[in-house]
Amino acid sequence: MKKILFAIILLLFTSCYYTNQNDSKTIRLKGSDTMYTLSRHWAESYMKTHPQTSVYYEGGGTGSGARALANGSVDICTASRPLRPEEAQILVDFTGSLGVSHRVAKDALCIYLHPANPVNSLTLEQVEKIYLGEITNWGQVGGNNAVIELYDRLPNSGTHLYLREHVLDGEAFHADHKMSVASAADMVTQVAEDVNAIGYGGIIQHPGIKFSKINNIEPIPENIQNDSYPIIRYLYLYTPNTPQGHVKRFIDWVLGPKGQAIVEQTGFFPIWQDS
Amino acid sequence: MSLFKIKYLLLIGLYYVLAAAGQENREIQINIEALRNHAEYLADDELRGRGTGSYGEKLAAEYLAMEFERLNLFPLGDNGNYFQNIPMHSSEALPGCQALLYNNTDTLNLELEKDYLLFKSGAQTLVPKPIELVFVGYGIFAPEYDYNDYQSVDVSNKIVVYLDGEPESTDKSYFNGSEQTIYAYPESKERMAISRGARGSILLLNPHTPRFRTWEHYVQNYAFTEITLGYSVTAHLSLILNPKSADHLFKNAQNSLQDVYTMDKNNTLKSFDLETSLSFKGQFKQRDFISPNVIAMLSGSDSKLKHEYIIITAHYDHLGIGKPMLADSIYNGFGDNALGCAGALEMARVLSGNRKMLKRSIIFLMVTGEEKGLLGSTYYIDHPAVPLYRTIANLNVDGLAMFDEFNDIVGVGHELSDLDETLEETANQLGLETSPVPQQFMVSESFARSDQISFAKAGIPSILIMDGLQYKNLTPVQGLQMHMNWIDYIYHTPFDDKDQTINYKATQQHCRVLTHFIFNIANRKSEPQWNPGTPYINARLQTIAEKR
Repeated sequence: MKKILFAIILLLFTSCYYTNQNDSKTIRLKGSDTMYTLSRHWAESYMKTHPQTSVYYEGGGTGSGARALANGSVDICTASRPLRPEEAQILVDFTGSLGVSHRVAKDALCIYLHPANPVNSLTLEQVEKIYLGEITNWGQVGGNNAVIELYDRLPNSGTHLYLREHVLDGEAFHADHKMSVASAADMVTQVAEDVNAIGYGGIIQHPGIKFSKINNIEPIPENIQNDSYPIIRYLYLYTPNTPQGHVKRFIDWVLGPKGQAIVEQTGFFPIWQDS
Repeated sequence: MSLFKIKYLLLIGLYYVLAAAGQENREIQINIEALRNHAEYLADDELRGRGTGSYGEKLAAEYLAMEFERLNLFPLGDNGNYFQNIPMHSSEALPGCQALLYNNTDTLNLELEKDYLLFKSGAQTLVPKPIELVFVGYGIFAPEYDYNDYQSVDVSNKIVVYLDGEPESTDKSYFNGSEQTIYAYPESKERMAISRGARGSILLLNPHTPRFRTWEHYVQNYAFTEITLGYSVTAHLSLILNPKSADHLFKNAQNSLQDVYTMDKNNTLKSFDLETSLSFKGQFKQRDFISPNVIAMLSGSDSKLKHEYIIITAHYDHLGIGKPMLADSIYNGFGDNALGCAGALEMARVLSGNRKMLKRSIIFLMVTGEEKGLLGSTYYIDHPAVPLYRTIANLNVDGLAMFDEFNDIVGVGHELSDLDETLEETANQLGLETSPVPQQFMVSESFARSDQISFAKAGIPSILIMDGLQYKNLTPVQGLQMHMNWIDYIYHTPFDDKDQTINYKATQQHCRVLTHFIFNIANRKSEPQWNPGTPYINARLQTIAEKR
């Protein structure tokens, strides 16, 4: 009897062992360049805690992620904007579904000013006009009579594109009085050194700069999470259908405490207001 | 306690004392004569520069296999021999290639070697109908620097034009400050273009980069036959344009070539559409052949740890026959890398004589096709002899000290993993210091330039260890000057042969350092780990998940 019991236990053990051996799962993400670093950190952290799952990620832009999702070469499309109708149409053509979006993070853009600048708040329209060159003096927005020194990121920066698309409605930046800086750190340095400067970027705490309120709303996490701060966007994961199995587990994890902590560590905002 | 138990414990204790003593008294006697003989044979004119796929390379592979057999190393190649046979394809562009630039009604015929060179060639490069060109700045997408030259232009099914180099910076946190990042390499730019859906790419040489050389220099370097792995399917045309002929690309565009150079200088380079298109009809001499990696193993002595592997790589190919210089057309590759192979053979001999002191297994992989784009190591990663997830480290040997005995060592890639700790331990054991990689070496010796990068990309912590600039008989300035002279006048020329002056004591010392390093990894408590934030971690986790 003991021998039979031992054999059964051994059989169970070996079958579990072989099941585990062959239980390796793969999740493939492709899409938003904005979310590339976030995806990389999600992948690393997820694989460390789920050692039988491998996660691959690729940039290429939201559009290329949508196409890859449609042709079945990836499980998840990462997107820094909602899919466009024509992209959803491709999904319908290939998968018979419009796709399912999962909001996983928020991204906010701050307007930087020098702490000595008496201006503390701007409207979204004023920011737009400043960067389009229609407002050129701080006096026009309640500040000193001084020329506004525009600081811009290089056109190949994602932050530049964000401002252009979300604040300037796609219009080109004002060409005159504009100084381009290469990195986020340079932007902070420049604004910190110029009392008449205006710049933009993510939330970076630095004594040399202050964040302008937009429409009198401060860019603090609470206002970003409750959607009252005006310059925000959602980041998404798209799946062709309601996710199942290991893809569902991954998305649940992204929306859970560990995934959301990584959202925060990489400079974005968790979507849950209480987190 | 019984007498038996006391005796048993005493014996165990004695064993550990002896083992520890043995570890301190490793017999690491690198033989200078053996080093010289191996290197001089491999770099002999008879081997014709060991071009990938050549008869000379075959002789070199046979020599290495014979040495492995003599050392009684376990063969890990195909069918129980020492050769991992790799299918390869070569193509050589012929003067009949036709590249035409179209701009409105103007057509310009570009001439091979005079106006352009083929960075990659082959049957796939046929572009029968003109394809639109688009300028994409430096052709870089670097998410960690919030930099993307592709974000505002559509490049799918177009030919991208990019400038050599990367954004200039003095800020270490932005494109590594004044040190060059991997994004600046033409190979990285080409891969990025392919991944973005471009049909082809054109590299514009940049007079402002430290790498810039005369057009004649490029012609000489690209005069060699292009070789790829047999299974590579890159449908991509890739040209390098002579700056003198590059003006035409920008005709009627919003910016001229001069504007591009100015934007580069001012760090304001941007992407924009061009009004020019390009067609290309290639004529190539092509062939398919087999070129082997040579591979052998020294099994570890620990029953558990012997299933973990350390790979020592050294490329044994060189450039073969090329454009003559001072009536010599054999590019012997003595320093690059006959000497490295000789060192690897000597290390194999020493380690095999001390094999019981190695807990983990050591694999010696002499790779082919390094000069043609890390082909041998790339193939190995795709077809590993042992599982990648059990391969815990790679030490690449590409060049050995030849100027003078030294007091410090540098680890290329040391900052990426805790192999750095083993490097430090090795230096301490030998009374040496570790130094950062001298900035002047970065152009020629950085992490991405040799086979260690293939292993890193597969998630395996890797390193290349070089002599530093603290020499016994040379000042750092003299040492640096010798390095730079070698890079500028000897490297990749027919003058890298056995007639140059070699300080074999320096080579011997370098081999001793590397052998100690191997011992230390083979016996360290835990397997090496990538440092947090290193991009190669995820590849490691993927191979572990997939048990690949």
